[in-house]
Formats: sequence, C-alpha cells, structure tokens
Amino acid sequence: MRPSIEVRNIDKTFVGVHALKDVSFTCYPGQVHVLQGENGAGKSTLLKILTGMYRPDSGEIWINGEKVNFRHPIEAKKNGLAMVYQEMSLLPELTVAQNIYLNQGNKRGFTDERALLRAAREIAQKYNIEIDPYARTADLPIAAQQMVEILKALAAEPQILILDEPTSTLTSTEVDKLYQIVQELKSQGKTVLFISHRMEEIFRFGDYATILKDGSYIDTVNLRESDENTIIQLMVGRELKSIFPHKNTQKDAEVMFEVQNFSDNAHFHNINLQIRRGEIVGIGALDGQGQTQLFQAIAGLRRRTSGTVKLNGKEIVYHNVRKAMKLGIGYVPEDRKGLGLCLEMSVGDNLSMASLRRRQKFGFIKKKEEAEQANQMVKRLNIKTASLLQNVVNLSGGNQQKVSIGKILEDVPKVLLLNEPTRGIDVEAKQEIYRLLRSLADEGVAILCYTSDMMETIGLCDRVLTLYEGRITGELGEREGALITEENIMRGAMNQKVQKTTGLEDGQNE
Amino acid sequence: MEKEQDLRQLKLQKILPVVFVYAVMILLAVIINCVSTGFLTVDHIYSILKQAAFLGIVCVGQSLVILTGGIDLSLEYTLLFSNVLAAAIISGQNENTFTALAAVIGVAVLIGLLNGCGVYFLKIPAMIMTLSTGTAVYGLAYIYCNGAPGGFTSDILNQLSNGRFGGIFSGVTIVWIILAAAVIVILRSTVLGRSIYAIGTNRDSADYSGIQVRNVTLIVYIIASVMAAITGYFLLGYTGTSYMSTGSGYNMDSIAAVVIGGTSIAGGSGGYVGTIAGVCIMVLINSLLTILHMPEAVKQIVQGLLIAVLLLVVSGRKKER
Repeated sequence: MRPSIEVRNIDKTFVGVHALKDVSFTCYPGQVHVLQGENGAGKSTLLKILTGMYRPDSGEIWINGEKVNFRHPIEAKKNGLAMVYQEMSLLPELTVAQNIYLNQGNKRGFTDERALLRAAREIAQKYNIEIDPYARTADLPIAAQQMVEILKALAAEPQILILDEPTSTLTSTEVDKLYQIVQELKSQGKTVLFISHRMEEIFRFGDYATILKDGSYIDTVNLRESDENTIIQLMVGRELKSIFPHKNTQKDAEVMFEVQNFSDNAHFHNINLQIRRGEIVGIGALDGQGQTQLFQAIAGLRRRTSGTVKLNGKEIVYHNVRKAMKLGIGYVPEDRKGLGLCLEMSVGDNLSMASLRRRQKFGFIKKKEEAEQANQMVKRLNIKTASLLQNVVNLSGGNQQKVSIGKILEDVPKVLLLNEPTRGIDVEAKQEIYRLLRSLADEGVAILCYTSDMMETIGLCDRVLTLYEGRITGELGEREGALITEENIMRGAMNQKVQKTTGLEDGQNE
Repeated sequence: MEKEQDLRQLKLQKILPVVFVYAVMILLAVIINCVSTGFLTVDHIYSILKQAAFLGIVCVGQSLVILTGGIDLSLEYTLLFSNVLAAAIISGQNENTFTALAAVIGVAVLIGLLNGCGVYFLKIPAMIMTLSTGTAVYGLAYIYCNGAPGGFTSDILNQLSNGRFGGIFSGVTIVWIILAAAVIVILRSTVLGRSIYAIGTNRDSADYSGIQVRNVTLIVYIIASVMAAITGYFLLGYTGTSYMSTGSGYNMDSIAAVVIGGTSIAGGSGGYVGTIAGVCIMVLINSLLTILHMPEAVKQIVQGLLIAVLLLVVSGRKKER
C-alpha cells in the first residue's frame, strides 16, 4: 500500500534547542496513527512542520507519494491536511455555522448565511452531532465548542486529519461520537494522526503508535500487540512500576472537613461530604455535573443558598474567597491559564500571590521571605524554571500547573480543593503531582479532587463520591463496601446504583 | 554557570525597555541642544522639570489606572474643576490656600469613587465610564463659574508653583519628586502594587488568589482623580488665574507619556520609572517644536506624528521578545 504520510529524516533546531533529531515515520491510509511522547518530546513541532507552520532544517515530507514543501498552513489544507488544534481556534462571537465555514465565502467574496447554515446542518447530521448551527459559539459549553472545532476540520473534507488532544475537553459521550467519526474516516481510507495524554484512548482509537522522546524517534509499535507499560516505558525510557502512589494508610482517622446540605438551587443540591484526615476524596462525574460550581461555593467564590462547613468539628463561616483562604481552604481551579495564574507575571510573583497577607508588614511585602518561600516551593515541587524572575508563560504546561498548585500551598491550606489538577500535562509531571497530593494528605491536609480522567480518580483517590446533575448519587470506598472501579464510577456518574460487594467473605472467595 | 547567564539575561530583558526610553529621552535632549545651544543649562533644565511636573503628577494616577487594565479619561476635567474651584475659594487670600487644597482633594475623591464604582460594580468599560464622568464634571465646572472662572491665586500658592526651593527646584517639582518616589515604592514593594499588576495581568486569577480587586480598583481611580486635582491646584499658582481651557490635552498627553514610558496599554506590565522618561519626552518634543517656531497647527501635526512613531517603536520592541 502507498503510504499517506511519509516523514523522512526531519531535523529542526530552534535557537539553542534541537527540537527534532532525524525523525522518520510512515502512516498508511485507513489507519489511526498515534504520536506519543511527553510534553517537549517534539510532537507539536512535528505537527507544525507537517501543516506548514514551520519549515524543517533538513529532511523530506511525502504526502500520498508526492514530495511536498508547504510554506503556509493554507498549502497544507489544499493538499488535504486538516488539523484540530489543542487551543481553540474558534471566533467566540460568530455562529457555529460561520465558524465551520470560516473563510469560505462564495465566488464573489460575499457570504451566503443561508447556504452556510444548510451546509453546517448537513455536515453535523452526516457525523451525527447534535448542534445548533445558528448558536453563538461562545454560548456553547466547552465540549460542544470542541466538537465545532472538529466539524470545522471535517468540513474541509481532508484526506489526513490531525487531532491534537481533541478529547481533553470532551465528555465521554462526545468522545464516543468522535470515536465513531474516526471509524468512519478509517473506513473511507483516510488517515488520522492522533495525540492524547489518555492512555485508554490511545488504545481505543489507535492502530499504530510512534513514540518520540527528546526530539528523537524511539519506535513505532502496533497497538494491538502492546500494552500501557510498553508505551510508557518507551516514552520515559524506564519502567514505571506504578504510576500512582500508595493509598491512605491511616484507617478510621477523625473527620477533618465536612460540608453539609450545600445547595445553590441551580448547579448543586443538598451536597453532604466528609473528608477524614489523610484522605484524598474524589468526585466521580462526567463534565458539567456541577462539580466546578460546588468547588467554587466551598472555596467562597460563589454564593450558596444553604449549607454549613465544619473544619475539625467546628463550624466556620465565610462569604468570600479571602476569608475562606484565611480559614485554611485553598482552591486550585480547572483553568490554569485563565483562572489559576497570571501568565505574564513571574514565577516568584505567582507563587506568592495567594499568600501575600502572610508576607507583609504595614502593606509592604517582605521580599526576602517571599523569595525564600518561593525558592522552597520551586524545589519542593521540582518546578523547572531558569529563575523566579522567569514569566510563567514561558514554562511548560506541567510546570505551569505546579506553580498553580504551589501558590495555593504557600498559603498552607488545611483543606485543598483541586479541579482537574493534571489536565493537559505530561505523564512525568502528572506522577509528581500524584505523589505531592499523597504526601500532603499524609501530612494531614484534607483533599477533595475532581479529574475527568477516570483512571486517575481510581488510582489516586481513597474514596469517591459520584455526582450526577448536582446530586451525589453514590459513595465508593472500602468503608462503603463498594469498590472504586471504572464501572462503579460510570454507574454513579450516570445516575445508576453502584454495585456493592455483598460482604468480606465474597471478596475473599474471589 | 549557564543558569547565572540565563538569570542575567532575564534581568536585562526586564529593564531593557526602561533603559531604551531613557536613551530616547537623552538623545532628544542632545538633539535640541544642537538646534538651540544653551538648551541644556541648569536653568533651563529647571524650567523643563517644572513643566514636566504638572504632566508627571497626572501620570502618577494615569499609570496606576492603566496598569490595572483601565484608563481614565476624566482626568483633564477633574483638573479643570479643581483649578476653577481653587481659584474661586482662594480669591487671592493667603489664608484660604490650604482650605482650597482640602476642598479640591475632597471633590476629587468623590469623582474617583464614582469612576471606580462604575468600573467595578456596574462593569462599565473604563473608557466610557470615565469619559461620562469627565463630561459631567466639565459641565459642573461650567455651571459653577458660569463659563467665566473668577478668583485668582494667592501669593503662597504662586510661590509654591513658581518659586525656587533649595536654589533649584520649584515647589511643584518637589511635590512631583515625592509623589514619584512614593508611587515607585508602592508599585515595587507593597501589596497594593503587586495587586495592581495582578489585576492588570489577569483579573480573574487575581480574584481567585484572594486579592482585593474591589478595594484596589476603587483606590486606584481615587488616586488618579486626586493627582489630577493637585495638578489643577498647582496650575492655578503657575498661571495666576483660572481658564476654562485649563487642562485641555492632559488626557491624551498622560496616556501617551505612560505608554511611551513602556507601560502596556492593556495593563499588567511597566512602571513609573519609565513613565518619568515618557513625561520628559513629551515636554521635550513640545520644547523642540516651540524652538523651531512652528505655527501652532503645524506643531500639533508634527507632535502627533512624533508620538505615533515613538509608540510604534516601543510596542514594536515588545513583539521582538
């Protein structure tokens, strides 16, 4: 069979950084090819070269048996390559239809709104996606926006579709839709290049995987004949005995943090939860079930209509985030770029931002103490930065996330709420964050965590509360007699009864 | 080793824009000195610093507002109102000098509070809110004096604005130096300063970090109005009497000086050290064109073009990094 993409000996150097070293790989029509590697392994650079955003220093690219030399993304598009970007490229004020067919006016340079709407409706139907083409894009939930992004790429009817972490913002329903779309494209003999940080998706979507490490080609493996450990081993160059740290060892510790009857009458209703000393409690839910609003309410960022909070058995009262922080409640939000960090400020400024009240006298910042604390945090979290003066925007995603967590830790929280603490970061940084959270829990910090990666919830949490449309639907854990399994979390997250293990004996028999 | 080099480069990167503005300022001064020898005498520098002080004090407030990501277009009208009010209260009487200062500051606090509330609570874009306030304040000034400002400065205020202290600086220059030092310290070393940068960089993140976004926003607009009022007050001493045209042009001049000084118009980065050079550059351009005996209209055109070129150079430099 003739290969659809052939990358031959591509080399690319940026000022001081050898981003790609002699990389070659081949994809065939009708296959889903996964590009895998840690952040900084060279995946993005390779894709940018494929789509004509960068030009390689040396090496060749062959598309469908023809040597190509794209100087601009438009040329790549004309040659049948379409890419779904990780960062949304949609214009928020335009309608869905306008976004899908952006840049495609009729011959005289005018747009035909009705034709656009019709075309958008047709393509959404064709791929079985429910979406109102007339909706303003910014009004859609983020997962739906991502689907629009995918439709936009499909509208160009590409021979080769590149998906750069398309699922990080999708709920599992939409991931299923995407899976069907990808199957459809495969059956039409098209090629899909796929990048994801979620291991189960790599195996679900992919046929072959090419692994990159530090800009070098490592191996191409047949995914039907390999397993997670093989891939991870190739990615990091050593075997990861276990991705997740040990679980809670302090059984039956006292309840440290308690939320009672929390409601806002819109997003969450009558929430009761407890966190014991040493415990990491997880929320098991699909996206958009009110978990973010619940976190915000507990953190003092959102009003609630009822509910009380107890810390160490004593009721605490607060109505804003500052008071909540003073009382020891810290919140790491889901969106590090938009909410967690000031990207254009330095690592040092960001790290101390949530704890300035501890580092000041008469309004003056104690700079020496501030720098000491920040340096300690950089060391403790292994944040890779040239200096505290470096702007956060220049760090990799994983290190940015560490700063986002570190700034809350500098305020020494007693209760730590984390919303998507590992979204879009590489495996190694994820692992470091898991270990950090476990050691914090061991030190006595009560931790409540939501992550959309189910394997993470299972591996990290000691107890899981499932949430569906703002109500708690189940509780999983040893004490509760229900195992933390994928199936049980899914049941709870979809408002089904969780399966209880009927007793210890059954467990022993198995 | 490598890390140290990185560090030095980072530090350099952060101060380079400021160094650049000062270089432009010195270059401009040298050029003027060539065109008109004797420009750079101590006497003349004193007079430049006096002229710069008025714009400089307005820029103290404008800098803070712009750093938070806002803008204040009411400043020149607040300045005018303060000027008119002070003239009427003082009416040449020395004993009224400081009553007038208290009065104009009081009014300014109210104006700033109004601006801040509109921007923070009603979420009206700063440009529109402050322009509306400014227009209303101009109307109030007009009604207050019926379009013909009365009264005049007292000897004390005249001395404060025009007299020399310590042989070199006029009172208003000294006030500027004190305020400039204060605002530089505030921005560098205080929680308020850090909060201003955080709000200008990412308001939501500042909010999530427990920064007092509401209080800081209100304080910043109040400081801006008070600075404009103080400038209007000293301008009365400088010119002797009040005019309805007092302060005209200060909005645009202050914004230009702040941005030429390296502060981002979108907020979050920059500082007052650069603004000082920006202010001096604005005054020097004015002097240069005056020396060249250009007709007023031509002068305005050239001035506009020069500012545009400088802004291009400043913002062009930022993209390079």
